[in-house]
Amino acid sequence: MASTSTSTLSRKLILKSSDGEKFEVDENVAMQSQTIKHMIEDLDDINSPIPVSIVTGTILSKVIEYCKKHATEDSDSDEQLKQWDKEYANNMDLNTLYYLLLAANYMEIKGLLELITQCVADMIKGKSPEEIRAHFNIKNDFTPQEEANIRNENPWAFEN
Amino acid sequence: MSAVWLPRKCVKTTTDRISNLPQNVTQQILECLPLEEAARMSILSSHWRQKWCSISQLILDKRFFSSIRKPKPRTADISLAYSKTVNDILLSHVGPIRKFVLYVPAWFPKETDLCQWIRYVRAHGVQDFTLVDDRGPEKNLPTSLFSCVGLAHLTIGGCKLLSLPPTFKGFPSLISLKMRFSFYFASTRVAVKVLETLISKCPQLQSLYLFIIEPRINLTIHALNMKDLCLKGLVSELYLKGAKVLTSLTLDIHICEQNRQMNEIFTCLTNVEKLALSNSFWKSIERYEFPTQFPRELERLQILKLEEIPLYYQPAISLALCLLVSSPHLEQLYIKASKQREVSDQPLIQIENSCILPCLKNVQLFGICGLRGELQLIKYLLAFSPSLEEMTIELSKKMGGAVEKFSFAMETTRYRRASADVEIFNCLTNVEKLVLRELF
Repeated sequence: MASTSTSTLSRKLILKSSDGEKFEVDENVAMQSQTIKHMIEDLDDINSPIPVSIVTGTILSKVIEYCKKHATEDSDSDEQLKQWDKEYANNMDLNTLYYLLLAANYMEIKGLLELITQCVADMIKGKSPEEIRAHFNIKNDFTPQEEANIRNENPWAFEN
Repeated sequence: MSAVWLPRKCVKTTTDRISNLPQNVTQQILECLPLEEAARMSILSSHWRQKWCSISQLILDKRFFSSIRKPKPRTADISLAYSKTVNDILLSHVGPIRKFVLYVPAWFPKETDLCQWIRYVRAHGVQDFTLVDDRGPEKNLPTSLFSCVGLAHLTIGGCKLLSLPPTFKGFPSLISLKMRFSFYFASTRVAVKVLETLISKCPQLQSLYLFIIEPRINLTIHALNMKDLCLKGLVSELYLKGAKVLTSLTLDIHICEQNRQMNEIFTCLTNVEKLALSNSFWKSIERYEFPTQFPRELERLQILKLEEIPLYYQPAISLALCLLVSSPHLEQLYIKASKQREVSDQPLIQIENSCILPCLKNVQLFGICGLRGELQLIKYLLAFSPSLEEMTIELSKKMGGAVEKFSFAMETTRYRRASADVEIFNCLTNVEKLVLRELF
């Protein structure tokens, strides 16, 4: 039984994406996901692949990249880690960010979720409503009259 | 033309990549935005119309008010507009308010509004409250604040604390308290008593930050569960009672009763892992006759920060050494030398050779300008730290030319090193390095 093992060596786990791709990762890497942590506790046989049902292989590999970097705490200083996070997030296109948000939320990886939400917020900051709609492909379903009403409700937000 | 243009358009995603996220993710994104930008999202589409209303933190800080403040002719008008804005925000809100930050501008006269807002956020379960009052130190802290019994974090800046409401039973869940205030308009002794009572009525308090602006006070802190304590400003006498679990201490106060006080403070530090002694503290050591080693070791101390330490002043170096040799588990040392310096270099002090610093791994020295005392300290650290991995030395801008810096760097590389692996980083600018290469 897995629970009887007291070995300090990190065990290996196999994560299986929604499209069937398999990833072998160290236990301490996978355990950064609260969801997987809970799944392991309920599993009898940790050698069988753990399904990460809503995450595709492409996205799961990016999630694992993040978890690997953050699994070894001592290797980098906080500064270096922040820099790495920044570059990691900046290299993603909007589609990837969207699926990463869903994955981080589903897998309950707090740090990754915070990183990507901050990154999306930074994309919104300083933009006009028109620019935000264009950037994220948001369809405006308001009539001009409705828009005017909203502006009047909270004038302090729109005065600039 | 169109044949080339069309496929490019098809590649670009046309799916909405933000509106279909789970509610908690949307909320988290909105909480990363300044409040006015979060509210502006309401105009994007009907999906976004009410989203900003349920964010769990409302940050109405100084930045927020400068962003909504319009030049208006009369104070009464601005004040009215300000009240209306806060009322609008609070009344639009749906669900719990976990964190509330309120800045009260200097020109704001309405005490009743303030009390209402505090009662409103209390009713919405506020846990983390920051009140920054710019109306001057004569204003009293709103009493409604003391009814927020669910608070875990409280930050107060600006107002005075004259009395506690008779019904006040304490903040049973308060974990951290930050206060910056002046006793100037109060009877000092009574006000200090009130402060001490407030602290003693927070049984779960783990973290306390106090910045006393004026005048000098004597302070007794009952610190049963206190882990993190930071004191700044005009505290002339300090008594820590029952500080058994204190792990981090920052002192930036000028202690007057030096001998009695200092010895008492240093015997409280047996569990401290992180100690920072800053600015004003170094004024306290003029008449302090400290021992070469403290009678009780600082057994757990791992990180020592000495900020604005006057390294030209011999007692300061002696106290630094005394701290070093009394801390057998010290791993990190951070020293920032004071900018004010006297011209004369004081004579060197006697260092006992037997005192090894077995665990010291990382040393950072800032504002070094090559004084004899500084060189002596560097020499000592290199010679008696067998585990040292890294020593960073940033030289003061006042140090002079590249040649002077180079001879300093050469001098330090000549010192004997107890650790074979130590790397010394002398922070010279690229231009200086270039000049040196030309010269030598």
